[in-house]
Amino acid sequence: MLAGSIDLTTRQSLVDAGSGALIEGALLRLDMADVEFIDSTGIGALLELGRAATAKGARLEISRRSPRVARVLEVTGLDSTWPAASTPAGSVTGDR
Amino acid sequence: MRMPRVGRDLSGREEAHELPTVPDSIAAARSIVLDLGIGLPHRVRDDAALLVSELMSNTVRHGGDTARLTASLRDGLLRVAVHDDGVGRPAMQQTVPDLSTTSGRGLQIVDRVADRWGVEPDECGPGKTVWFQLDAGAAASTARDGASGVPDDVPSDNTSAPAEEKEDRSAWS
Repeated sequence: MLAGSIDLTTRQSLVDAGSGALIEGALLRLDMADVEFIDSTGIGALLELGRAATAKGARLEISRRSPRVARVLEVTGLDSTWPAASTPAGSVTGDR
Repeated sequence: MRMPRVGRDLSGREEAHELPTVPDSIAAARSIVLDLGIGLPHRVRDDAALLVSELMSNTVRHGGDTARLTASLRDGLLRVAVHDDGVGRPAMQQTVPDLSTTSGRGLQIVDRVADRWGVEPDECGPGKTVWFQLDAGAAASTARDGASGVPDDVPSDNTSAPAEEKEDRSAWS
């Protein structure tokens, strides 16, 4: 569960904590329901985490996207290409 | 965290702040813009916070020591500008970044969300001003005057940002 703002100030702690939580073959689900703010720097952190997941044989899911998360993913065109596509059917995925 | 206020014109709803180019100033800039936009529709306020975050992030990464943030709300237009003395110039990537690229989306966001934006090099010196404008709606200019204000919970549509008029970008690198 993430909360608050994801920007240049907080991006590295997200990448570090997320990378540390990756387990080979497992799904790391980031609950974004309480993320009040994210900008392109935060999106970059999610992408970095996604790459780390792939490298480790894990998967990353961006679930329960808050309106601001959904907005920025939409604006960057990542809402259609981001691993949301791999979201398992039946899981909670916010407002999209 | 917030730096001393340089000036505030209540009647014109204009703010000017000097901010050090450190990461904490990014959130400070967002707070300034969010405060100025109190009473505007959520969507406009939140988009303004997003855009100023992009501008300040660029300045913190590539600008000089100090940034000057000015923000005004007038005639339904929210205009925000960030000036710094750094030599770096924002440059749009020619192609949309793909999933393997973890940076380079800041100006893409500004370009898609702002109604207008641009870069103005200083006439003297290496600095520049990057600015954006959001149409806050016809009622916005009175929004902070009190009871006549637009409620903060005005529903905003979910269509994408207006794609019409954008600034002449001939000055960009």
